[in-house]
Amino acid sequence: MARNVAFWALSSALVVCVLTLPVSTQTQLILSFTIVVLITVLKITAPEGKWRLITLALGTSIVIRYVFWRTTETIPPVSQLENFIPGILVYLAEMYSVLMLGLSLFIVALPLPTRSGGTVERDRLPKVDVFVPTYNEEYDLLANTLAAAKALDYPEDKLQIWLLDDGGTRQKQHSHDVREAETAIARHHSLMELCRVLGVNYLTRDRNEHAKAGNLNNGLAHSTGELVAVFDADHAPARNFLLETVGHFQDDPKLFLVQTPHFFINPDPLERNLQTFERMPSENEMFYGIIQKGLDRWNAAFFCGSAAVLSRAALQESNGFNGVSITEDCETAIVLHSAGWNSIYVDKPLIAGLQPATFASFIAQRSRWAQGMMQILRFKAPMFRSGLSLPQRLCYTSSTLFWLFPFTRATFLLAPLAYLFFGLEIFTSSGGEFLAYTGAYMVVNMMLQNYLYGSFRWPWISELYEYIQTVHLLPAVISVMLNPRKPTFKVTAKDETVSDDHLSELGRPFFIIFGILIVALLVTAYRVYTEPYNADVILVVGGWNLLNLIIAGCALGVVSERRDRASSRRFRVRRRCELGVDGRWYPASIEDVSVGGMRLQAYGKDLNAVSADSLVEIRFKPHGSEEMARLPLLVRSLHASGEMATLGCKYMPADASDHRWIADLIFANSSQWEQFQLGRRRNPGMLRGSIWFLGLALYQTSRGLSYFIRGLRGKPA
Amino acid sequence: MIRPCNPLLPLLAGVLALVPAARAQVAPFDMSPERSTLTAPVPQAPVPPAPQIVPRQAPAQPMPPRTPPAAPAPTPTPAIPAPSTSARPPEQAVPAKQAAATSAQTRRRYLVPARRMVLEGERAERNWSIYLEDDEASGAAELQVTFQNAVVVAPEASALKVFINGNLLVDEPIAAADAPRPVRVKVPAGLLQPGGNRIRMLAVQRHRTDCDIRSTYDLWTEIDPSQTFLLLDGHRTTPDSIQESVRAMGVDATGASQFQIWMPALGQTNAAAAALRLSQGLALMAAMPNLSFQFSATAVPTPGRGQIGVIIGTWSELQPLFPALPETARQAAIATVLPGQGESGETLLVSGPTWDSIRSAVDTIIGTVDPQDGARQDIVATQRWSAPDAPLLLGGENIPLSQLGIETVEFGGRRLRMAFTIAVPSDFYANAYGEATLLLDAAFTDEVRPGSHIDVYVNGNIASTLPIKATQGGIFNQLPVKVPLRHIQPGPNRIWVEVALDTAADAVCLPGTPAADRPRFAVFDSSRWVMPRFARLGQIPNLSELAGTLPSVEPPRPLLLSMDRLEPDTLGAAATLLGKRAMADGAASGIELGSMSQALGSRDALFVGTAAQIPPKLLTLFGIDPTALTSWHPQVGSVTSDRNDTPASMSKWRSQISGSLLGDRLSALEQWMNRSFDISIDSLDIIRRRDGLVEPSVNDTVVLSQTLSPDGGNRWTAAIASTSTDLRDGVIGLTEQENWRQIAGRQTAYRARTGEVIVRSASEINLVQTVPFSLANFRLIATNWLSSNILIYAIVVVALCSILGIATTVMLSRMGRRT
Repeated sequence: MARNVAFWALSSALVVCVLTLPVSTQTQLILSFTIVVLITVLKITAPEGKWRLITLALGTSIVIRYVFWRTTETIPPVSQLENFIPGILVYLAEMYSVLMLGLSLFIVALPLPTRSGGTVERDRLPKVDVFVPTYNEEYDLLANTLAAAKALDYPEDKLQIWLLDDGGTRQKQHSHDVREAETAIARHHSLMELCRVLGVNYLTRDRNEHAKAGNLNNGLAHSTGELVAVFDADHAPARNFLLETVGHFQDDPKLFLVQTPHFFINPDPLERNLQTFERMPSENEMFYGIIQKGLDRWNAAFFCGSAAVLSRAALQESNGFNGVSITEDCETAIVLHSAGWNSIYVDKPLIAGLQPATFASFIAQRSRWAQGMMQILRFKAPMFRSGLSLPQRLCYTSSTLFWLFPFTRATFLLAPLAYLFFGLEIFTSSGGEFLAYTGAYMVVNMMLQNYLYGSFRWPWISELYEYIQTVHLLPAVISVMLNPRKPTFKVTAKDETVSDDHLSELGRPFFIIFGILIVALLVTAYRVYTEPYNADVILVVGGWNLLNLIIAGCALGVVSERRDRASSRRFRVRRRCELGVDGRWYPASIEDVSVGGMRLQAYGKDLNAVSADSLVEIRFKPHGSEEMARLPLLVRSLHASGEMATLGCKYMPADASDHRWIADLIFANSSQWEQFQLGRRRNPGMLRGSIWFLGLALYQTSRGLSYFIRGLRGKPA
Repeated sequence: MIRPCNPLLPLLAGVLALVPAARAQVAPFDMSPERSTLTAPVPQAPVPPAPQIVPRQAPAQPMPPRTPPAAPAPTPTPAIPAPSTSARPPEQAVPAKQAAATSAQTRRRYLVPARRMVLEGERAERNWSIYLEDDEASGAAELQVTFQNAVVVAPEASALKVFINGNLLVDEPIAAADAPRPVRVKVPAGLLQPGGNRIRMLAVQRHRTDCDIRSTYDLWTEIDPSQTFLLLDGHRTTPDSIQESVRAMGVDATGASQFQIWMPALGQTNAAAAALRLSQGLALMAAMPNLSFQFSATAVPTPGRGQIGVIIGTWSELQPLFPALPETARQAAIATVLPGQGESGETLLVSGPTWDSIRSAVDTIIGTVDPQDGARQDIVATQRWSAPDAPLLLGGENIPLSQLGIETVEFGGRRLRMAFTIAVPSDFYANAYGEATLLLDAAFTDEVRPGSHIDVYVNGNIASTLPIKATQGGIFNQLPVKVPLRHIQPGPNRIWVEVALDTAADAVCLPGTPAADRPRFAVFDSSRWVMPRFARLGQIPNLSELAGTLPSVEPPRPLLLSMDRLEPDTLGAAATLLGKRAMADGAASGIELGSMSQALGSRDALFVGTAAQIPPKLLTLFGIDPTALTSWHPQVGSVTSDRNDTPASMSKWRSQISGSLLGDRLSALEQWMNRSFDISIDSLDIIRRRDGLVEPSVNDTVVLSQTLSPDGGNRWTAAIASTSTDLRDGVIGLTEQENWRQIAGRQTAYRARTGEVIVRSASEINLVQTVPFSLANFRLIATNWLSSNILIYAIVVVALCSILGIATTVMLSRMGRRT
């Protein structure tokens, strides 16, 4: 082992020595060309094993060359402060990006392959408490989640489900605000009733202290199981969730966490407004599909607040869930990791959840994450935290530092403007050097990203996500830096629907920025025309600005909220059932289901007599049960052709127990989610991906502008 | 034929003396204690002056009045550091002087140290210094400058200014388009000083009609070297010392200088060795740009202007031919100066009882100019043709341009050029990657439009361009301009800063605009030149190393000089080469003579001879095809065209026959790469081609060639011509300053008829260590090597990255969790 490290250290030292020779630009150009060609070949042939790391090493060499050159040659002279200060800011932003690239290369260099389910000995299964913390989620949503939890495939005597209600605390019930008090009391009673029907424990507490962490700790205090599974109120588990996870605790007594991915059945605002949900991998798939697996190699997979199983013994050691920051999940994980506990990550979607549907709630959620991670960076200082291994320190540093991206994004947005509008020269380089160093660096950077994350993240999508968050996250991150203890936990709203086309209330800054970038584009054209002697630099900077403009234009589409009635997507299920109309039963099959309803195909001569808005019901055999379940439906549409009829129906649960059947239809089978994810996971490649993005951006720009103009006319969009 | 009634001879009777200690100085700015120039090198006699050897005569006449009442001349302590003669002790005041000495006579001192001197552009300047002896500086003097100019130069707006020691003497409108125009002015008494005198010629020229930048290239004023001189009145006295005399040798009407050596024992090896060693010392003292040596066994020298005679031989050799030889030379070595008469130059006499004693006398002479052991040189003497002396840069220097002779200039024209000189050692090895930085202090008014630019040229090659982009005027405060060192060569390098200004007024060009002189641009002398640390590594072959110095901690081993026959032309060529080499190096090297066939041992060697004298094996080693020699004969008449030059012919054919479409595309790509990045397919070669044999062209007067010695590690250089007169003339032509700067590669041929210098570059280059190993130097060497073998760099990086990738795989697979 020591020999391997020494060999590695020696070869890296050699590489660094050779890469920090101040060779001529021509030499660099040839090197850049060679490496780009080699990486292209390696990407296309995609060999695995050592070739993967050779590819990464080749890419890194260009990055190191760039950093060396950028540091030694391009920083404006101190004698020109007006150039030097912004020059240094851009330089620091770039170095931050390089640092993040380095950390992510370390993390995902060799991610662990997907794990198997661990050892499950049915007779020795530990007792499990399932916590579903809630604050303000709606009844139906909770009913589905609780029903799905109740349906978990696990010995009944070893499973306790807890609804941890923070919306019906005694503090809220006795609120001075009459409306709040009445809402809390009503909520308290209806949820108690729901729990009673479903056979679930209802638990609330006196005061809403320490937000989610306090709520979970209250659950811990009232329960005794060896393991604790946590599901957000909108995260419904599949039946096999526990069987896929608890076995790992038998394998490793020092295990404190088994985390599973969050799979969302509704699109986030970007996916909805850009209509990419069905085709393009979701934003979080990069994290759950690669990064957590990479973290897992270094025993640094961390708790993401839901869809995880934790060990009570470990939590007792850390005095429960930690609530210093507003991201209690990651904070708890870092505390337990530094206490010597282990975590693992199971790369299999075992819950299906909802994510924020509107841009505003999306931003609210991200602000919480960014602020919480900044608090962890500040209060837990992962790089210097004792008890963590070096890889763990690097991993946590990467996860927390990531949230500084608003600064770099903002810098990269403003830097070209500084030149185009004010003539500041913040980057001294000739055209040839720019091509040989910066061009190669950008190309290699994109190729590396595509190589590592290609089927999980399409080209330019990261930039788009970062940009749409930057505008509102930048003030949030600055405020948490100034007042690290100020932010409070805000529950993200996820079950909203967008009933009509409109501009997001947070959309205005995006139009302003877009306008400024358009002006910069015009200035580019004007200056190229009037300053031919400067054309090369103006074109390079103008090109940079154009990239920003394309992304900013695409973002206009993101903040133009598209009307969308269905709060969640449909999944194909193909399950046999029988359709009951007025007491007559017809053979039928369930084609697809969503959280709100289902589509059926039924066979029967007189089915075309069924009118829309009539009440029907189906009966089918739920998972793990012999008796037939009956679920009332409301017919919303019907297309009959011959003896076949296709019916669109809405669930009409008569009481809480009906939610068990809805949950069984939607959530019981996790493999359908995997199928859905795999369907989106394909790598379009750098070139095709970029062209696709350009087309998307152009379309979204026009859509955003049309919303804007309609908004100006005062008409509802 | 001997001419015993040489006008010199009568003088000899009384003047022979061992010249007392002169205030020798290695360099003008050397303030080290005085050293004696030369004393009788009799072993037992200690160094101090030996007035007892030669009866000193009373001064024939008093010192001429040095301070005319009217002129507040800075006489007692000259402003220019130079050997002071006024501080001489009284009893040594004036050395022995011929009583019947010359009457007061007017002498010409030519000024221009070049064959041609043309001042081009809107502002052109030349600076150099001349060295005057006591008697030259003391009398009345007149200055004549003769010039002719382009017809487009507007006389009312153009002026030629000549300064001596900073005093403006000539300020003439430039109006000599039709015929050369002499301008003669009196030089105020006391202005000229014994020692160095700075001459500055400045031409400010404006076009009659045009205002564009292109028109500034039509502006020129040519100084006629043969009609530009100082007329010096005053009695000739015997110079203080050999050094004094040699330093003041000056130039002839063509800007050249020559030593005429009379050596009866010319064919003797030890005599030739001593003479060659002396010639290096003389070259070091003279430090003249176009210096040559002429040898004769028979003719007593008759030096003219810009020439010095040298008589060297033992008493017994000289006495029969030269009856006036002092008896003292029978017992002890003497070295002295015989004053010239009238317009004739002075003559040095070096004699002694044996050649051994002469040799030690020569060593003593050289000792006055050769750097002391361990004393690092920090300048290269260039001031006789380009003042100030060039600083020798070893990397890491940061020098204000004011130290390099640049003055703050406020400029109202359109194209401003200013130049300075820096020197690098001969083992400079940073052409492929190095970048110096010019920290520019400059300002420009809002009149200057974007599109104007500041260019930096290195030895005539454009190195970098700084566009001016501001529209409202601006100030550059230490603005860094990167200057690639690609064209830097060993030895002195000329760096030009050229400012091309574009203004609206010039675009309109109303009458009167060309002459307007409102300053638009200023360059300040606080600008700085920052030399990066650069790699130091010797290369063989690399002829340009001959033009540079090699500051080294170890004393060099003697150079082996290999000549087949000791005859005047070959010796002259060898002495001229060695003198030039010594000047470049700032030191004289030890010489051992050998013949071509001798075992050469492991040392650096110089071969001088005709092609017929050099064995075929050696010729082959030097890359010259021995079979081609039959065709290498001096041609009579006009220049004959070369035989078919294969590469040129091939490229001609290539351009005529358009290849396939793909081939066209590829060659277009190559041309684009070449234009944009200076990358050609050749530079991607991994395996170096071998340097083949070259057939000398019939037009080549002399070929200078360098190769690695067969045992490896040593530098062998050869000067080869087809005949010995070609050898002599060719070497003289090649060592002219303008030509010498161009020598490079493995072979440099000089064509006397056309004045062309043809360089054949080397593909096979052997690298030799010149400085003690250090990691920093090694890194820079690797940088330069990889920057010139660029594909290898890519290969090395890819190979190392592959190793790193595998190492990382191996390491990571054993770290963290595994499956």
